[in-house]
Amino acid sequence: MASAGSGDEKAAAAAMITLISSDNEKFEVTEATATLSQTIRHMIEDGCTDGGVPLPNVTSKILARVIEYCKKHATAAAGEEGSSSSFSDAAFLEVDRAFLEELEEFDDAFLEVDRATLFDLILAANYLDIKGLLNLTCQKVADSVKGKTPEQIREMYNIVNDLTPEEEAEIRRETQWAFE
Amino acid sequence: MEFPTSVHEETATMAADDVISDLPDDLLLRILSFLPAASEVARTSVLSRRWHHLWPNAIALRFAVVSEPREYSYTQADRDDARRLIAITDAVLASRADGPDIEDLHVSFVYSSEDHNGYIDDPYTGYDFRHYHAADITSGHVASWMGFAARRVVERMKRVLMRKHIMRRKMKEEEEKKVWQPMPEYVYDDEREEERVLLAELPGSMRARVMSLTLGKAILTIPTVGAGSFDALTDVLLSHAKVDAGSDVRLGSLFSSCCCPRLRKLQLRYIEGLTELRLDAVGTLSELRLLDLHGLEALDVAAPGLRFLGINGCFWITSARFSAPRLETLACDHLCPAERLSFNGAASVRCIEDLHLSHVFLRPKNNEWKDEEDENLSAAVWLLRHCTAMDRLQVQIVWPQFGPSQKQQLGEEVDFEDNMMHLPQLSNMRNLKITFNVPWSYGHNVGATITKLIAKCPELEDLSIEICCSKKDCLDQNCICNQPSGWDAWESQKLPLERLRNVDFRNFIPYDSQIQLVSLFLTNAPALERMTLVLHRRTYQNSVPCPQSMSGRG
Repeated sequence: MASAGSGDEKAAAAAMITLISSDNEKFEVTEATATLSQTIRHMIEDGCTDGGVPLPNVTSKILARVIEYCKKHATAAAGEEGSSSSFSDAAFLEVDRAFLEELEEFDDAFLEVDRATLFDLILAANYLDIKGLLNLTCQKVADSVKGKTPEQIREMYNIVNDLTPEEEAEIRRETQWAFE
Repeated sequence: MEFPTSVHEETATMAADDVISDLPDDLLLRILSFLPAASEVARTSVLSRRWHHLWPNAIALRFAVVSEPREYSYTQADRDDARRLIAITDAVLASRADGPDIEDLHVSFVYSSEDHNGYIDDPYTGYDFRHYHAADITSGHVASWMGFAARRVVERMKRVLMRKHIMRRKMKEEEEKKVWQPMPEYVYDDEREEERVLLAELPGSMRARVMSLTLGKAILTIPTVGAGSFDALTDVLLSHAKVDAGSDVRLGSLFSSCCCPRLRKLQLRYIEGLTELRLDAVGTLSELRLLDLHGLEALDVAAPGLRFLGINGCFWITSARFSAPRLETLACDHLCPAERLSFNGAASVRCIEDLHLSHVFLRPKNNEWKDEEDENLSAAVWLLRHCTAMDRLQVQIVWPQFGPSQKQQLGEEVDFEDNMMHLPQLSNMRNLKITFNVPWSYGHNVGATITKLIAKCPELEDLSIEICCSKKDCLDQNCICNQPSGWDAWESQKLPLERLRNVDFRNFIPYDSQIQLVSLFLTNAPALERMTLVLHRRTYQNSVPCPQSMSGRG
């Protein structure tokens, strides 16, 4: 990966993007990192990134985490492209496998956040249109709900049941098959 | 102690706020799409008013039987579960007929346990678990689910169906939608089951990107489709189906560039009735895997962007033509005779996997045994000779199933290791993996054979050897049951192993032959950094006399 890394740096020197968080903090990132976000990619394509990209919906705390994710995964994306040309598939698969494992470990560690941060990451991933991050974070929430009864889910997420007993009974009748 | 405090604060805020319900619908639907079963999504509709309307708009629907039945044998409870799931699948899909599109539909009636539900494409084995509910899935179900998938699924569709023993029906379609429909097996009235016919028809067009269909050996009708009918499709898996004579052309054209202009991966597995496959694929197709296409005789693939080609278990192929100038990896156990092989792209191949090298010269003098194995090796030799850029190779050396009496009968022509002499020089080979299949107790010539193969690879850096023995392994180190001719000479051979750095030797048995092999590495490989030897588990036990040598010498 050493050669991929140095290539990355060269590209980085050529194109840096400034991202500005809602609390006005500036983050310098490479274009490769930034364009994991489709939202930012479109802005770059439209040529409206001079002077920085304001992201009024993302705080500096969350933006820092998002950039951490994008940096790691941009390297992975670059690797995938490299494999199509200069490396033999098989040799690259070896590197790939190791790197994918590393990426998985990174993702697991990345998700070790409190619930508020997790939801903020979901909102940011959605706003910035970063598919991988959105899936990763949504999956994490889904995993926490998996196999739980409605009562357990309400308790876990402080969901107030505002259905009348009659309404709830009616809904349960409609979806009775799901409770069997 | 700032950390505990902040965590405490966090918990306190959480207790007050229902943060999750504040998320917009599309994000809640996205979260629910990761739940493993439709029933789990449906249950969230009783959480609160906010959640009530989400389920009818779910973007992923998954219906699947559990990973394993309660018992290997029939239980009414297993069958009832599956029947209930069939009914639920029908009802839910019907309720969504006019609803919003679905990204991912998955219907599966095949037990999914990977550890306990393996599949061998054989009339008498099939899946480990029988699927008694196969009889409950009708052609009508298949048609209705397929139709739904074709109309409403925009991403992935996967269906797996299954039928009783001979008949496995799995259908999967994936297109950002997954539908999986399994079909159970029915044990009680085998004859009736045999007569059962399951029909399926591929839709004539589709919006999904991913289609994965496993059809339980349903008779599959391939429609005649027009250009661009599957223009979103990128990934296809079609498995466990029978096609009629005459479907060849339609199937080939369906997956060709005009109908599937975005295809990237295509897998065809366990399909019967296909005698000829002609693919004129789009340039985006990078991966093609063919597994166990029973009866396929002629293969013609033109795929300008293909990088991976896998052909395994297609033993009936008698002629093949490939045009794949960007091919990098070929995984192939068997191909047609070399003289009936046309292969444009061999020069770009960097890696060959699964290649079987078998006993080419092992046959009786009267040629009675001249068989496809002979031709098989000639294709293997052709590949090794023409894939000149190859630096990575995985071979299986398959030993013939002979006993010593046959060996006597074969006389001097029996020269187990000599077929290696006919392999070309592999001057770019850096990484070599040898799997040695020894069905009988012919462990003794392992050293000689491997030495002769390695001697072809002067640039070798990584070597991995695995001996796969049968239960009858002979551990008598003095056994002469299978000493090849030239036995005395090979171990003094000078091997050009200047670059060899890693050796990984699995199931090592301390025969003289294998010990000699290891000492050859030690004396001929000055750059050797690491050698891993893993003993065969039987070497921990008492050695047993070789049954072959005893009877053979007698």
